[in-house]
Amino acid sequence: MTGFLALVNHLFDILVWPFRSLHPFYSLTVFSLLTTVFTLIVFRYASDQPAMRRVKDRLQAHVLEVRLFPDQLPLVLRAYSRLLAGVLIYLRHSLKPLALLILPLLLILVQLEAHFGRIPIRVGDNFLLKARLSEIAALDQVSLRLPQGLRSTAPALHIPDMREIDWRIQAELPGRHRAEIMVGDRAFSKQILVATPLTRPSPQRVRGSLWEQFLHPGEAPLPEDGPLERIEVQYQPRKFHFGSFEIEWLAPFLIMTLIGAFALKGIFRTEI
Amino acid sequence: MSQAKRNRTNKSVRPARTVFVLALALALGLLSPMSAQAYVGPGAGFAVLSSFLALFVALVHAVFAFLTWPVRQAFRMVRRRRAYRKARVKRVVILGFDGMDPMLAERYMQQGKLPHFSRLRDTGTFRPLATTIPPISPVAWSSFLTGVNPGKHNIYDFLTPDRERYLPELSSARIRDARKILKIGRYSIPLGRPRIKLLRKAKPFWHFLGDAGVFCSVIRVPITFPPEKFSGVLLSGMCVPDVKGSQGTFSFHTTRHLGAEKPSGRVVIPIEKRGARLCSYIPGPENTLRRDSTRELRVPFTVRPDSARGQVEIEVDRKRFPLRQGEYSDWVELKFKAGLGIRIHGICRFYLKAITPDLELYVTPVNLHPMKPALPISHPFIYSVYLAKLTGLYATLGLAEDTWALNDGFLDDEAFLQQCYLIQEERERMFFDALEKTSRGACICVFDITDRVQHMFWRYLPNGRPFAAENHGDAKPEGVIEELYRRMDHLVGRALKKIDDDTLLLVISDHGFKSFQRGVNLNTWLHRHGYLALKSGASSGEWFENVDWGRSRAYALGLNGIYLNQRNRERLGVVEPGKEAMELKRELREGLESLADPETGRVAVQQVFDSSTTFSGPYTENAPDLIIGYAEGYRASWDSVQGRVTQDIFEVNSKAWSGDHCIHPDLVPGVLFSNWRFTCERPGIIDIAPTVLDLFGIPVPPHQDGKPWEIRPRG
Repeated sequence: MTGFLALVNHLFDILVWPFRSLHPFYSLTVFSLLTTVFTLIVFRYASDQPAMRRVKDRLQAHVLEVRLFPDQLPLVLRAYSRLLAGVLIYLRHSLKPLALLILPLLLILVQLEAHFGRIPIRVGDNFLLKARLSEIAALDQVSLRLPQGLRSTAPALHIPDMREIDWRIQAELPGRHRAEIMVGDRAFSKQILVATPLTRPSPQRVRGSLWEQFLHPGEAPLPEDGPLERIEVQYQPRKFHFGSFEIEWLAPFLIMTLIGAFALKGIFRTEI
Repeated sequence: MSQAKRNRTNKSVRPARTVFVLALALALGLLSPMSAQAYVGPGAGFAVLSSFLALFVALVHAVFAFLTWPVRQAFRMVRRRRAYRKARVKRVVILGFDGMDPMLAERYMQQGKLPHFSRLRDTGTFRPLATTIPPISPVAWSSFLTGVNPGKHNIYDFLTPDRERYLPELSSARIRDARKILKIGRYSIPLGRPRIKLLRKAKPFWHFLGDAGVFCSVIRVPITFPPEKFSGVLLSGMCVPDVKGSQGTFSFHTTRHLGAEKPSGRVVIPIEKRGARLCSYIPGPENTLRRDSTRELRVPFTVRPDSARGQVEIEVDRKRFPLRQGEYSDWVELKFKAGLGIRIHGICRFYLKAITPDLELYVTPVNLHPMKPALPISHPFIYSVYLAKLTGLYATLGLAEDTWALNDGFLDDEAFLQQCYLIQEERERMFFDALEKTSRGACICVFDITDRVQHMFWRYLPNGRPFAAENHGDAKPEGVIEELYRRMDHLVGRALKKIDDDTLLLVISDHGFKSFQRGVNLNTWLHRHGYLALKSGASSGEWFENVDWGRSRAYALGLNGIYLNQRNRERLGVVEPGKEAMELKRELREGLESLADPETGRVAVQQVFDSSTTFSGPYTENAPDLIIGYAEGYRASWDSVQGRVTQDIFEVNSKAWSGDHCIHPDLVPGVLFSNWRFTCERPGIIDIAPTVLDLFGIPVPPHQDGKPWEIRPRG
């Protein structure tokens, strides 16, 4: 699994690489387009396309029915009941492609979240580095080693109830830094990105199930037999600006994939 | 089994288990909170947006309808009160069976083969229904829907002469290019839609009903193209053109070497071998967008034969489908690309006639696409779209059943019948939907199959004459017409189940049928008697080619009409209107009414009608000067209809088109069945419009010539 995730990481890093000097919106657009094409192809081959078309035609017919016979209340109500039934049938036809898409899309979305969800820390900014341990007893054995470019600005904060210890750190130099958390004589590192171009900040390094690793693919997992459960860096969420609106990447991604799907479905001859 | 049916069957065997497993997998995925958050992905987005968009749009419509409901309801209450206050009926349902013959119906009822018609006869009404002069569908249906004689509705035949050019034109509609055209380089871009003019005059009765607030659904009634605005829904019928603008041009594709047998038209198209593929094309309309070219638009297709399995695979526009020998495909959607992003959409069916020794593929005329018609075919415009979305794609062409393909041997009997019944299924779906939507008001639907099948299969009735002494047993061809009547009876039975006692059902036809055994070439007769002159030394051709108009006094065009070459009316007219014209008409009448067939000794023309005394109304001057009422067994010959002078006046009709009705109207009345009893001396098709208006309590307009029938109490 780790190898597979590393491969996926590598693949997405390659895909993002040409856009590293551009605004992230451009690469998000490309990913939206690729995702749309992939989804359309899966829908085309995994669903009963003639049946979907029939259902959609019927749905549209019932909408037109409401328009054509507005003065006949029983007809309008019947059209509505048939519309609702048609929607359920349509969703039933969508189940198979949706089931097939769920894992690949999760993989894509996790990767996109890794690339577009957070921004690296800016030089001069303060941030928290958190470590959670598996046993409270080890809390007193924890220390932190910071590389040049990162500076601790406050003593470590111990939170025994949560088996957690937090450090307040200031970024002083740009670069890919690695902080080391010592628990006894064992060292555990955590990547910290400061003022790098479009890269993949890893907010958490985790230990645990495959699912956890799947959702946090940025770094190799913590050892299973180690004292640490999780190391977390609090990166700020990335915002896209549209006029006076500030939104996270998921909204434009969804809108672009939906618009793309409706624009490209004719080319790919896919009924959605 | 047609491909369409096979698809439906395959669909029904979809295993429910697969759906359950998939649903479970999806549900498990979504149950994990983190994944649910992440899985607001495009896949789910498509599904949600596609399905709920429909709901949303419908909701918007409904909210709008709800908000405006009080105003509309108040307005309609006032109108309906006027309409229904004196109404003696809640709903009128009119089933038009084009060409249904009263004698055949009577015969089959006596044999117990038509139980539902018999029920109507026994408990309601069954009478012959007088047709029009001439008894041709466009004329008779025009009188049906307007309640006036042809002198007021202006339809006398399928064709009418252009008096300037002596060439035929469609009598019901005229299509012209858009008024303004933008010329840029080699392109000629129309600024607006083509101009379509309905040449039928007088208002259909559903306009009066609509004005009074009575809702009407009108399906495929002839001479309703282009559709007129009124308060109701309408799908146009007879005379809707195909994408080429013709009344139906099929194509036939073959690998056979055509050589000398290549027909004059563009109907037969070779299939060429290109590598491993067989390639051909479907001809479309002329590309009027390009000024530097009159090239017709085409949609190419390829064929991959599989002789072992008795089928081919056809690929059109990147869509592939298999087709078995002896079967029709589903409707195939075509896009003719004219340039500048302009496309003309059409639909057609393929029929695989043979694979070996030569591949033979028939393609129906390319119908206007009901969802994207290049010309308006319904009112409101979305009605044709609605029907297609609800019931599937359907034939939109006016004369959809391809009688010419059978007549010319490109289709055999079985293939033609298959085509007719495929179209009939579509019409029935439309009719029953319209019936459901018209709980109050008028629902009118015309079925053409009765006309087309009788035209083409009358030859299988004994000696081409019904009820001759010889018994030909139950051989299939002879049973075709009987089977047709049985099916129409079944349709009536289904309709009866959906109507109540407050609904009046009328089953009518515009004319009956008789055998067409001998053709009469009126132009040859006129030529022989010196009324029509050819240029010196020239031979006659189609559409009066080589006619010397300066020496011609009369000509025949269409199925029943003779026209005088009248001065100040025809461009090269020589006959003075008035006394000279009257005298010429008298001469022609006398000559034709004594025209004996040397082969049989019978007089071929029963009566000649003078239009000036037969018709009344502002459009009488557009009528043929004389209308020929042929005797039974006779009709205008194929060459005569096309304005050609031949060697003989009489000829044997050896074509599959063996039954006809373009004869004396008294010989071919239609039928009138009803679930109610009517009192009327000699009911005519012209009486139906005023009768329906009268039933709804709407005053019959004084210009209508028909008379309302009296209804006796039911039971």
